Amino acid sequence: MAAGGDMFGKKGDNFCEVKKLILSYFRTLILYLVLILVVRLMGKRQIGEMEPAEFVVTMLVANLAAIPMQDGGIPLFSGLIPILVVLGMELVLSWGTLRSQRFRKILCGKPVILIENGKILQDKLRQTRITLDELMGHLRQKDVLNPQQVQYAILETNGTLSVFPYPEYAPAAAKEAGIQVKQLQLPVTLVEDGVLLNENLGLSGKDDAWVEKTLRDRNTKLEDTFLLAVAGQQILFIEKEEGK
Amino acid sequence: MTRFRIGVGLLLVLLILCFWSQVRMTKLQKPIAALVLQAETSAAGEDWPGAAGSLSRAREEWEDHRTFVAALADHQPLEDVESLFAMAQAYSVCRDGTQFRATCQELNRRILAVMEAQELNFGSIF
Repeated sequence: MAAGGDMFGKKGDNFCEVKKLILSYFRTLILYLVLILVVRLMGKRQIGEMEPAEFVVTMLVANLAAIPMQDGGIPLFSGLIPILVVLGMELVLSWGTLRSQRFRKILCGKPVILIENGKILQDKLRQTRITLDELMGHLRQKDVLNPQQVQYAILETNGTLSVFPYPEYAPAAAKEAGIQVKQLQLPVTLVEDGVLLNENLGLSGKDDAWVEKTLRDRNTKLEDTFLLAVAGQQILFIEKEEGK
Repeated sequence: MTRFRIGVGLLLVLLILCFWSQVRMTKLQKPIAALVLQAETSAAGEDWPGAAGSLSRAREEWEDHRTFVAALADHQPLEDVESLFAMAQAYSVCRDGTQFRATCQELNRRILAVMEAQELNFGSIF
């Protein structure tokens, strides 16, 4: 028996506390990795704007993970099983919304026009429970101060408002202004943080020798290159900062 | 279609896992509860070596499957069961019939409660 305490006394209590911390550490690690996997499997939409079902899933999954993370007395499976069930349901429902327009309407609703030809549709506002203040706030976020300048404003199923001003109030596109612009070319990254991306060389029509010459012309080496990208004839080059 | 199959597959696997764990839990806990009851009966008949033996076997069975049960059940009830085992063993050493039998009854109830917590019925769903 150690001095100052027995197996279940002071020293025992300290050991129990340390065990709890270690348990908490590993549970958090496991649940964190599972959550990342779950969000990844659910798809990119979870990270961006969410439909109602997706919002529910996100909230649920976060809360389900928190419970066993905080309370070591609850088995880990109490959190893992519900999270995986939610994932399974989400995969099935998302397939259903893709396949059936009717099912999609039931689950996600449909877009609602709130402004048409400059006129606010008050019955639609009431139907969607959007106040005038909220509508004006959304319009201001789209740089519109006058609803009469809006031809269409549509409340989408994910809660965002799409605003289409009348052409005379909308910023002119290059074509309308008669301005000749260069065609857009997607930049292809060849070197990222000192690493040569071989799979992108073919996409850009360049090769190792070209990369080597380009870097030599800029008096730098591969490992000192933060970013090297090409977009047509344009080259984007950023050198790594010293000490980083 | 792949997502649908993964989703349905996952749900089915989880459902089967849940049913399996329920069946396994019942298979493990019922014999332990039966041994505890046997210990109580032995004590009632003043057969203390028999009572201690049954209790000891029950405890061994419990310890053998502790990890599996702890993966499924809340830990507090399991700790309560272990405390009751310790108490019952102490009473069997002292040959305190009344306390031993009361503790065995409580122990039996708790073991069955752990088992029933995993059972599927309308009451447990709601």
